[in-house]
Amino acid sequence: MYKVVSMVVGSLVWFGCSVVMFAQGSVMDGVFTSAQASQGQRTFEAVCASCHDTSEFSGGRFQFTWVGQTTAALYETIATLMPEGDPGSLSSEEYAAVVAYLLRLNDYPPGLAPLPADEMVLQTVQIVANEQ
Amino acid sequence: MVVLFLVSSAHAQTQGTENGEWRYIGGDVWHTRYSPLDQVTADNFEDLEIGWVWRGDNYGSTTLGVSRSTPIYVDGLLYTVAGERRTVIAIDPATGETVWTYREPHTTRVNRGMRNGYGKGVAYAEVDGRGVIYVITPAFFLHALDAKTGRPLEDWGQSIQLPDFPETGVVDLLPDLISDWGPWQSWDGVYDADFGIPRELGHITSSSPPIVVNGVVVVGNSAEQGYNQTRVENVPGDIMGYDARTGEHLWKFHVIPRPGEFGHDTWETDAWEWTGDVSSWAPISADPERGLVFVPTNPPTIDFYGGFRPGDGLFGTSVIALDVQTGERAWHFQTVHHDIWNFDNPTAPVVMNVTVDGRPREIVVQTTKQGWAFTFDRETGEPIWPIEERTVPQSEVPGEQLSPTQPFPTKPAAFEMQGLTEDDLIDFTRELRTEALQIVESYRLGPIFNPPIQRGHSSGLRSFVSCPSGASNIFGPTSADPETGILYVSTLRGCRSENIVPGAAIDAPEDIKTTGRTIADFAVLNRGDFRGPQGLPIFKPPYSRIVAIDMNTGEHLWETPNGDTPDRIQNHPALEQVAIANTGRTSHPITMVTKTLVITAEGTGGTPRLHAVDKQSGERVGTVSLPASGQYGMMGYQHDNQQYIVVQVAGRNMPGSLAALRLPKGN
Repeated sequence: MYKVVSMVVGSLVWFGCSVVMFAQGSVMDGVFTSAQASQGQRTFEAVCASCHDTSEFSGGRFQFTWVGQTTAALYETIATLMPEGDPGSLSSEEYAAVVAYLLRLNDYPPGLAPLPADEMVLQTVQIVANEQ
Repeated sequence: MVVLFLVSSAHAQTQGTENGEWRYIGGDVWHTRYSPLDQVTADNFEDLEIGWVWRGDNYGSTTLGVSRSTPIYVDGLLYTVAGERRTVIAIDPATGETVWTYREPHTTRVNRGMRNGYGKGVAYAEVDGRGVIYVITPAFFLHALDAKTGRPLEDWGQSIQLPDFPETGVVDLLPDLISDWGPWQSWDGVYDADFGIPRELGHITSSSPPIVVNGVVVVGNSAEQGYNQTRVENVPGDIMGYDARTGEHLWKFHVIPRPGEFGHDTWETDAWEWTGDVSSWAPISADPERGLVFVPTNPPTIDFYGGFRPGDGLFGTSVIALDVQTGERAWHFQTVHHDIWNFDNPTAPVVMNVTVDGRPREIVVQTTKQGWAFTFDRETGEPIWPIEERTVPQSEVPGEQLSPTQPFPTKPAAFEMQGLTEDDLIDFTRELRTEALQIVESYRLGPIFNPPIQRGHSSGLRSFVSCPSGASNIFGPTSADPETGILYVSTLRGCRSENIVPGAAIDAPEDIKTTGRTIADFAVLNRGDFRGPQGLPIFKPPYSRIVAIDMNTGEHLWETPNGDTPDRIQNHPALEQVAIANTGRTSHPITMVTKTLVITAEGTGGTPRLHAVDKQSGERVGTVSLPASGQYGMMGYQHDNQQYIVVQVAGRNMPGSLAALRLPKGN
């Protein structure tokens, strides 16, 4: 019984998070997980760091470029253009993890559910100024 | 036949690749990336097998996903660098076993570096009959190591008062660099060897190894990427010479000329006093018989905006010939005046002996990001073929003043698409072309040297477009055949569209990598978002090629696409009904030349294959597999009567590594 209840509760929590994701939200809502961001960091260091420094995607540069756009725009830019020699060669999960890493790099809070590689969902997540 | 004989006897004087060795990262001191070995031919190329793989795991706190190092082979050992500390590795050339390593002790200043993983290798020289390996680390120390043991050389250099540093075998390059520099001389503080140059003044590092010529270790340097800089002050990348035997500092060449020095009048304000860069991050080559080194440089501080540094700004974006004993300038040529396009000279100047119009000429060739091969008499600096100053567009960015003209070589012809017009746009289908036309409506197109426009420009356009972005570039170093006078250029088609914004909007004062005091009026927000329709390149193919240029005539001999059309293009939904010719990959090929073949790999965006190409026709004559895609550099040597080809490889499950190929024994 306990097991059934916990499964139901777990499903409701997961479903609840998904429901939150489909409503209009922002990157302040905890739209990625720490584990996902850490995976994205590993991908960044293995693939991106050979040409890029994190300073290009943090601080004023990140805010100036991305505040006012959605995570879909961020995801699509990276997934379409990068890595430069072979754009689009990473998996959609890897691209989502890199986006999660960039969000964490800019001190946006992690949450309970990973950022999905789903354009419709990503379009509902606004990148807002980090006011923490 | 007579011509070949004359050229061959001149080639016999080249140092570095005799006896099956590869003593410089560019093979020989001329940086031709040529080896006279001939065991591997078109007939047996496909018999090549992987002899061993050396992996670059575990050198540094993170594993580098790529390595830019070309190993050297000398006196029975292979030497390379790996990881963010540029650890020196000696490797058994027959088995790939690590023989010794040298890791520089940790300093704070290594954490400030922006090029730590960009190490291109080491240098070698003989001192009192003993082999010595020289390396410049990201923290900007010069180390001299016994080539057999890896131990710091005795009675060499100075004692560094930092924890764990050896008592000998090392020089701190920073004090020598800044000792005569105004901003440091008037700085109220003591030198902190652990931290390095105060952040307010600047930062310097290194990526290429030094080159040792006629007993002198010539030290170049590197700096933060100009598109990441937001402040105008930095230390100049002066070139320095050290005694190979003792580590004594011998000379310095001011890359930003001081009052009374040649070229000082190309700085129209006092920016010469406090701005910097003009680094030689690409490898240096040399003519030991003449005692000259050829130094390629990059622009002054902040690529893409130079309003604070009006004037042509010698010796930014130049090739400089220096006397290796004195450091004095023999000649120079500025390939871009007041460079704000990041047109750094990106690969070593290549030294060759050719015959032009019936006359033997001793030349040096600088291939560039703009897509030209600037060719000079290496004694006098006189262009072999005319280079014309031509009028170019002027900037509309507030405060910017560009040179009214730029140098255009008349020969050889440009090897890459320059500028972008509607005629250059993708036309696989009418729909794709229509999309491309819609995309370019938001950008300022233009010819080569199209100037940036800032965000919020009155035109309302997103940005400028400048093509090429980096036709010749360090990702695919130029190679050459000294026996035939053919130059092999790796070139990538591309455009840049950096977004320029007020520096104050993006300056990061707390970032340890931010240096200088004064925020620039404009700096680079990001590298732009100019892209083609549906993920395809916006311009027509071929996207990357090897171009063979006969430097006896300046004429293009042949060109071949790099690899084959990428799957994502071949199988693109928009091209379902369309047959397209080989587009080549979207990354630079890497090459080396042997007596028998041009050998090439496809670069960072390529498949894991090694190809053999006919030197005279460009036809692909063989292909073998690699463990991962080949990139940045390859080299060759002979060990125990076997010819080896060693390729820098990296891939999704493989860090920057080395793959060594050889024929099966008995072949």
